[in-house]
Amino acid sequence: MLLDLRKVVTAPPGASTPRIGPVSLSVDAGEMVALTGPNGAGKSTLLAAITGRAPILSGTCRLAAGTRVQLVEQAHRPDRDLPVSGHDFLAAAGADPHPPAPLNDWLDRRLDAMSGGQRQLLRVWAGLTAPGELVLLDEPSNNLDAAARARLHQLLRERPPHRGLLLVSHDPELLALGCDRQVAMPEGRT
Amino acid sequence: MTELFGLPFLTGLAMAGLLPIAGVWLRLRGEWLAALAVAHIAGAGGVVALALALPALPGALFAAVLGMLGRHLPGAGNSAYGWLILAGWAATLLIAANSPLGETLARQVIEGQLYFTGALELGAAAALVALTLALRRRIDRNELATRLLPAPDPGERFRRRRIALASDVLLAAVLAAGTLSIGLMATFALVFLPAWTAFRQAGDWRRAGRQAVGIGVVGYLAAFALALALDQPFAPVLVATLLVLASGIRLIAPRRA
Repeated sequence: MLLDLRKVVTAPPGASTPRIGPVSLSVDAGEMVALTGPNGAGKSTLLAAITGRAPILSGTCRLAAGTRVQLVEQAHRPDRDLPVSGHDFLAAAGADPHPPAPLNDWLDRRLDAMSGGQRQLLRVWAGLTAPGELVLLDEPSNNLDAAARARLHQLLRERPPHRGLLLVSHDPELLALGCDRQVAMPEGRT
Repeated sequence: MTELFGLPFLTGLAMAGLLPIAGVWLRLRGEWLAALAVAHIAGAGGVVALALALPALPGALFAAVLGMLGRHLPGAGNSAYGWLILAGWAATLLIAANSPLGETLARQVIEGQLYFTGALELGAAAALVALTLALRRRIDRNELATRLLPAPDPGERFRRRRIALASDVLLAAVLAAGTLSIGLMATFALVFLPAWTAFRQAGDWRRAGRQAVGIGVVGYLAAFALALALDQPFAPVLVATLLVLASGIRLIAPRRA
């Protein structure tokens, strides 16, 4: 078991309220587990708790010994005037420098010259191929058009085996990709 | 002529190559103002050391390291750098005004003393060049990862912080050596202007570093020749030359993004 959450109650970083949870879920090697729930349910906060950036107020969060985590956060626009190409980005992430087409065609461009969808797909590729056994993907299909969503689905279907994926999404297309389990966030916060 | 200016020329050339590299790291962090702050604090440390009849370089280095590591304190940021600039400026001038060497000390630190640098300064600059070349790839990768990718677990955060601390000490040493050799504002200009232009024009990270170093070195060579030919003080000539060079490239060359 790569990740084992039992009745975890957490809260946004730096705050003790509102409380989110309790949530129980597990992710094993090779599994893709979806975490669903409406906007504001605390899905991203739960990922922050797993990565140690938000407090765990009660319950237990266990990562198997030696498990390395990759986190792909929700898309954000990089600053202008940042001389970082796609090659630079993958090298910094320690990711496979040879992504499939059409991602490999974008690598010579600066990140701030790519579209939001191109950057997002590169970030997903980096998360899936950088050293790590557990990959946390936070709303990877947000702001992607139909063609980019299809490429995202392809990346996830052809992901490296033996990695565990925890996928935060409320995109039905993405959830239909063949998740091993779906876990719904509890309604409301306290 | 060569004997008189050989060591200062080489010392300045080393700093003209090193400070733009510090500039690209600080600009990537969004902390280029740190260069001015740490240079001021280094200047104050150098003046304190001279006032105590100690060598200026260790004093400047100690103060610069303290100033640079201050970025890790809670709430640190541009406000803290603004505070350091004012504190360094006030301390430098007040200590200088109340020490036997008075104005000379402050002028050496604020305006630089490139023509009076010797083997010690050149040795320090050469050591910093060697250290920067040895660590550059690791620091580049760490700074890029810190800026672009979330640290996904405590182990990775610890690893990044450890490399960032080593980078801070190296940056502090480069800024202190620059302040004491070519002067406070010339140091800031070599940190700020080449990276400012390279970040806009370069196609990738490696080219940005090369372009920044190129602007720094070309600006330095032109300024050194101009200052001697026109019998002008070196530091303001260097700042003016870099302003013209960096701004000209920004105006002429197209933006890459």
